[in-house]
Amino acid sequence: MKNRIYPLPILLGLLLMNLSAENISITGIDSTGLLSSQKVDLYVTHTDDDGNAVENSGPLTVFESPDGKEWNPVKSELKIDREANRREGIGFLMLMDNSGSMYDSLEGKATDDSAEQRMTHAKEAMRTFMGSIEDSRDRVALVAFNTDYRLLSESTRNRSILLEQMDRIEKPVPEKAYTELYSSLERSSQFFKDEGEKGRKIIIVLSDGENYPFFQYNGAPHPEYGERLFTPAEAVESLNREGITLYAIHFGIKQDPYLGEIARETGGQVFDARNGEQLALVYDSIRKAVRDEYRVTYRAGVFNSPRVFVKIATSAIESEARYYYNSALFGDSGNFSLPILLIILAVALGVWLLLTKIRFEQVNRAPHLELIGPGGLRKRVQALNDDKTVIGTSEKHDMTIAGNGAPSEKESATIIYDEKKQAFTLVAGEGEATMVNNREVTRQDLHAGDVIKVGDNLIIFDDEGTQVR
Amino acid sequence: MTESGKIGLYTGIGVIGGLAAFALVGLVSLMKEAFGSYLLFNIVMGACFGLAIGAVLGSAEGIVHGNKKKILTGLLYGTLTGIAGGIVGVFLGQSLLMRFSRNLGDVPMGISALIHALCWMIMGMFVSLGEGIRSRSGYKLTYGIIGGLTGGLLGGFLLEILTSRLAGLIILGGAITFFYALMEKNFSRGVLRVLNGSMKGRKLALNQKHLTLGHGNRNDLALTGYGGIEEKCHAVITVNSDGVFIEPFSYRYDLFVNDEKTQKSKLKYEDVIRIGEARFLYEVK
Repeated sequence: MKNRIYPLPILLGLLLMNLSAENISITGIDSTGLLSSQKVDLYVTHTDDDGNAVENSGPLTVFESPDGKEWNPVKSELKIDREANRREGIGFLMLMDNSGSMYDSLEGKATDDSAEQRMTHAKEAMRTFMGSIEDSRDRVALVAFNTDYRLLSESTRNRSILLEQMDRIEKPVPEKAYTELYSSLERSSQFFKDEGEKGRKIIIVLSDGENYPFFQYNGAPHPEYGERLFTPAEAVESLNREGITLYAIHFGIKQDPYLGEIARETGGQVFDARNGEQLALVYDSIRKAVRDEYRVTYRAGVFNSPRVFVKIATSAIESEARYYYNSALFGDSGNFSLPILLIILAVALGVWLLLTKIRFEQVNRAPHLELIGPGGLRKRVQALNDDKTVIGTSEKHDMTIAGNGAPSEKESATIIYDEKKQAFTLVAGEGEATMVNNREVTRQDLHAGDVIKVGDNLIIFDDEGTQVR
Repeated sequence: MTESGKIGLYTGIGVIGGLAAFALVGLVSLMKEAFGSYLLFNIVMGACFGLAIGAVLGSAEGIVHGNKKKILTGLLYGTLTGIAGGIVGVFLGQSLLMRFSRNLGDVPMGISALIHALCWMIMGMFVSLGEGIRSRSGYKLTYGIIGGLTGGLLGGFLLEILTSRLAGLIILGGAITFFYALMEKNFSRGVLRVLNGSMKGRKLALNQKHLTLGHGNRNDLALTGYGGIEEKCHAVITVNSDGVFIEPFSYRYDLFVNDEKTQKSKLKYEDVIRIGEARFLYEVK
């Protein structure tokens, strides 16, 4: 099949039509209020045929879906705030590439003339941008990255602090000159949360090349990330989880193949800039686009899926779908049906009820001696069936106590049963003392629960018929 | 019942709790979309988990002792503190999860599981406080805290690794009660072993500041089946930094230590105590 060839004016016209059609898009989602108030904020850009912000979008509808397929319109009232970003200010994090190639010329050639270096142009554009925020409530933070990720300035509206910190950016030594682009995006996604920033959160990354991780190209583990290699998908997920929109600027000839996609997946855009003036214009247009966004707050539905898809529509057009996360401690519920769950519950209750009925402690009611060794380790029960029971160290004795803590005398004590009185009496052996209830005895009538001590061994006497009165 | 038998029984009871928690949480999950708010949903989920684990843990001591009154009061306190603990735990756990897990992405499974396990650890701790609150025992509270934290961490970690909520919650429940029982075994200030009669062999761990001994069911050691023991409270054991002391509740009541009548005695291991017809041995755990 031949490619259709259009005359140039028609081609331009088609391109313009395509570029300038009315458009609505969700550029940012803030779901941090989900758990506390069930509210979700959408940041929406609505532009007309000329690319200008539409003042009045008419009636809007928000749709939600657990799978991106079946959509339900949100029934609650939408709260639309056209001035939110202007009134509350925007949080910008400027992520600046400070790899070795940033010190080449704009054409990509090595140069020692700082006036020609990309970094000089980038700094100049940044100065212009910082000048433009002075009269607003916007806040700017600055990070430089190469092999390392370095926070130069926390969020501030103070231009001089930012400029001062920016001037600290210096050409890195070769070891530090790698482009850790994805890891820096991943890391920067945590910046606003760590700073406790609320409201609109934007990261603008400026890079002149591809992701060029230290571990992959140097071979040695990265000092911080070790052997971990970051992926574009991770960056997208982290940024989306944090409700951050990424704007990416390619500043140079080489481009990272995934950076633009990452930006678009977060609701942002990608730009090319060839020199300092273009860069300043890009910064300005990003800021203008974000300031023109309006905020749509709505009461979200509850879904049984980790990601919830959302889109917004006017009466004429609708946006592409975006999504937010609702991470929950209990995770997925699994595929257990109601009857099975009820059966499991019944089994649990039944077993528990059964346990409450069981007697776990059995009582030996016949007369007996119970030996507890030192430390309560040994345990033996000796029935008192005979008229005379001898406790001693030898095998021939009725109850033998040997090993550690055994008494020194061979025959330690004898327990005699008096059939007439139906009672047991202890007669101590000669030599080492025999104790009953910690009192030295020579002869003692025994009662249930009496404790006989022979050497270090305790022997409990028990007989139901001899309860203490 | 031997100490290891008791730990085994506690673990089994925890497993039942895990099973019940799984069923309850599953039933609530089935109705998730009807809740209208994640907040409410999470509250109910936390409450169900706490209810199941708290209730069984609360009833465990009563089950071991075969004391129906203790089972019921333990169940009540365990349920209430379990529900409250489950709700508090789910909030803290969830905020921890939101704080740390958002950038987890494709991090190794172990780390993700560890973060989740930290959340379960908090839950475990809160649902294990019931027995301590019921008995107003600082020691038991401590066992609940440490047992719950350890069991929650271990069980929670396995729950995430196994990716099966059923197996995970069973292990979690078992781990919480196992560590609770283990703590009680290893850290109490000795035990009273009943030496004779219908409760022979039963052991009462001295793990609260005040323990009461008497005939009635409200006592920490309810001595049913023995004559000569006062209904409400016959004797009190006090555990403090100076040692373990026993005294009759009233000077009129008889109390013997090593066959000697006493008004107050500092107990030492192997002392033999007599109250009415009942005899006890104070021994190391």
